[in-house]
Amino acid sequence: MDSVDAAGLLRSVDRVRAGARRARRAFWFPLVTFGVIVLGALPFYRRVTHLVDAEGFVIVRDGIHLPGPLDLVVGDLPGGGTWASLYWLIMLPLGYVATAAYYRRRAMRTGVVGRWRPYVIGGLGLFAFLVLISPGFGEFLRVPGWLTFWQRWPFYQALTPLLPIALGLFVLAWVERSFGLAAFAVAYLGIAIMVNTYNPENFFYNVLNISVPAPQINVILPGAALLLAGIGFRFATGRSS
Amino acid sequence: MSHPVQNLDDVVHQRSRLGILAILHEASGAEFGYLKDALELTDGNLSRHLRVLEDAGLVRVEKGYEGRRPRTWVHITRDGRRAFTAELAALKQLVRRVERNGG
Repeated sequence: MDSVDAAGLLRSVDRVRAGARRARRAFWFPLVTFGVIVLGALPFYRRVTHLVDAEGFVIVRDGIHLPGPLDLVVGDLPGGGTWASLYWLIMLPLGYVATAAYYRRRAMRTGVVGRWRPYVIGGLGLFAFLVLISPGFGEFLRVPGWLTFWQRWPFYQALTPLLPIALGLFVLAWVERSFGLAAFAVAYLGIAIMVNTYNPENFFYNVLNISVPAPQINVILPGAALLLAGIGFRFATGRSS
Repeated sequence: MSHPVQNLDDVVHQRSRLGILAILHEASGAEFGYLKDALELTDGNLSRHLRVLEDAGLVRVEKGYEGRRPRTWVHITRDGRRAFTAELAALKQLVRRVERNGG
């Protein structure tokens, strides 16, 4: 065998590998699906002017956002906390199930099986972990306060249903061997942490002088980013994906 | 140090079989029809190559049905991944060596 044969063989290997990669790649689908799911949570996020306890006394005034994206609360916040928690508890797992179903259906159509299992299993596992350490779950199980010490850590605020989506994107980028998706995962992780630790309304109002709906902007930003990236990747990778 | 040609594996090195392993290395599995079209092989040819790879423990063949339609799925084994990676490395080494020595 000479170098011409070997180089030709390597080129044909590259060609068939690229074809198989095109046939199995479908990561636009989970991006669009989770974009729609995040935006679907919009009705549960609104500003209230005050909270009233069972006797009718005002206990918190103004500016409370109900619920924060983190609040997997199982009950006692008025104004939709329970509904938002229920929404995430149902829709996030459904998003992963839909992704698995899409990859399987696509494999039947193209004849090439994509690597979706690590993404779906990892995402569901991360979400289950988040639920386990959430305040609502602790209250539901009547876990003693000292056992939930992590809830006092400053970064705890950044734990949110958006986080398993963001970290899942890194797994997806790895199994799909996509630098573009990995770059987006980094940006999305930044957005997910930012909307849970900072009120972007301030930035829009003070820097850009634009009035945006708050707290909805905290949901619109990560939801729209996923949706637009999904649509972008769909068109960038052509109709085969 | 041995010549890179010595590192080439006869089972893997054949062009169609290398193509089969290349596709399977890229995905979790591939269907018989996809392999046939992608590598421009006949049914008989592809079956023969798959049997060689299966006998060597490099691929696993699964037969099933989608509705009433029979479908054959092929998956790469751990040994298959290892053999494909080693073959690719040997080929690249061979190209580098010949180019270094001026063709």
